[in-house]
Amino acid sequence: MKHLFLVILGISLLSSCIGTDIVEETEVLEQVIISSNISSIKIGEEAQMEAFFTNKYGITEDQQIVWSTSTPDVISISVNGLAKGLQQGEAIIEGRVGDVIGKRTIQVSQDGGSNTMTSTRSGTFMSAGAGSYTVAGDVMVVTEGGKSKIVVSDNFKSSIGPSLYLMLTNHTNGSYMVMNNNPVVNGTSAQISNARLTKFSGSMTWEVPSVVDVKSYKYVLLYCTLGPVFGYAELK
Amino acid sequence: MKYLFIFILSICQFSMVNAQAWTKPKGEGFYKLDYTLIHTNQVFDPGGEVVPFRTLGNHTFSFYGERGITDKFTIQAYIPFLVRNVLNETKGAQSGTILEPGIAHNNFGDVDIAFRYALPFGKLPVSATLLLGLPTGNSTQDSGLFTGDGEFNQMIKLSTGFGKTKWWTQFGVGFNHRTQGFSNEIRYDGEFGYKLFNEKLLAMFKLSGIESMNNGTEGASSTGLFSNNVEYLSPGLEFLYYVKQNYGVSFRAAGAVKGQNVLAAPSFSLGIFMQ
Repeated sequence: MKHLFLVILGISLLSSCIGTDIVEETEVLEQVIISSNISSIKIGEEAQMEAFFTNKYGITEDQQIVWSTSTPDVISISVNGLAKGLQQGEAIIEGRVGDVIGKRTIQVSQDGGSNTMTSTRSGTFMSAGAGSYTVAGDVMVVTEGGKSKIVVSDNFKSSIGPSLYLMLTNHTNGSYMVMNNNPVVNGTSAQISNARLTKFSGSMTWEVPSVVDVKSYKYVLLYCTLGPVFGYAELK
Repeated sequence: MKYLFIFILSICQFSMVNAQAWTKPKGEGFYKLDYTLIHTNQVFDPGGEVVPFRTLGNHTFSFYGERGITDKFTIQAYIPFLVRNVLNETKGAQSGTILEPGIAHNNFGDVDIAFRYALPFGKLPVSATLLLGLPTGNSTQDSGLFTGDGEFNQMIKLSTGFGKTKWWTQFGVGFNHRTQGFSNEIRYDGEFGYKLFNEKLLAMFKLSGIESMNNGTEGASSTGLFSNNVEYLSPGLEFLYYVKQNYGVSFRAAGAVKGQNVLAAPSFSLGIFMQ
């Protein structure tokens, strides 16, 4: 009896360790993602620009960012990315790693005014083909005054999932990074919902974290961290 | 995800308390320590299709006991005193980067207490069982690796059977009422057992299943893939080998030939029992 108990204990200990699942990755464009949510500054005001480089698998790599400005008379920028408004106007700040460039347009004004630019991209969810999991309905990505949000319409409906997250992505194969209450942003995907979804139909809105440049992503996608992509909408 | 884990709990519990047309004679008991393992990367989705899944492992250490209070009244308890749920990490094949870390949680599971009473139906053994599913497990972890469903369920079940010296068979069907917006269920099972080697080995073929009434709320379903609207049809084999007259070892293997919101994988159990 004692030996049997030890055998059972041994089997349970050996089989209960965390293993590794290998996931095929899809190549994406290398990017410099400017993560500073700055779209306007005052004359004389300084702002620290931040950016990171993501490789062809969307993974963040530690690379030196080379900063430059399109209009040095309007905004100056130091080698460390410290930008300063010099006179009223508009400048494009670039962060570069080799041939890969990330850009951010910044307006300079007397009072620091607000960015009134508005852009909208939209799409319709389709199921990803994982079993009988389905997603349908319309979605919009709206950017106003430098802030973005994702809005799903009344006709939105998804299969119920235990660990379902809303993402912005550049492909639909499911090799994403997700962290509960600490959204992960890289060149493959940007986690939008902080925690797993608990509502699966009807109109809903998510604020996009300020570090996410929505223009860098092609899809809005519902991903179950346990495995399948439920569905996605290509943004146009 | 009261994940598979609730499914596992369901199937374990059901295997423990299934059939049982007969009550225990007064003062007699049966007690078992059990280790159950399920390890898989496939599930039956809500439409019954098998889809790939991140690899999950469930390890349940449990105690099961039943004792005759009178010749016609038996109490039962199923206590999963340690449930370990393990979710594999994911790693990019090309980049070699860990995409999502693995997760492991250990906790107490949901306890079942049942009361079985022999009904007066002539020579045919018929029993009625009231099973109470207590929400003693954990159902709040962010990861969803729950060890309990967080609801108090009550099942009424009727069982009957018949047998000869060497063999027996029994059947049961029950209605499981679930709270907190979970769907009610019809649970059923059957068993055929045979005694071998001078009754030192009991071999049993079991068939058990759950049919969900799918009348729960969205909120309950969202708490876990395997917590609500679970369905399966599970055949299994169990062997009890008596090392001595009053104790022995057990082995059980069960799978699901059809399912909904459950793992598409067999479960294996090893245990020691005494009576």
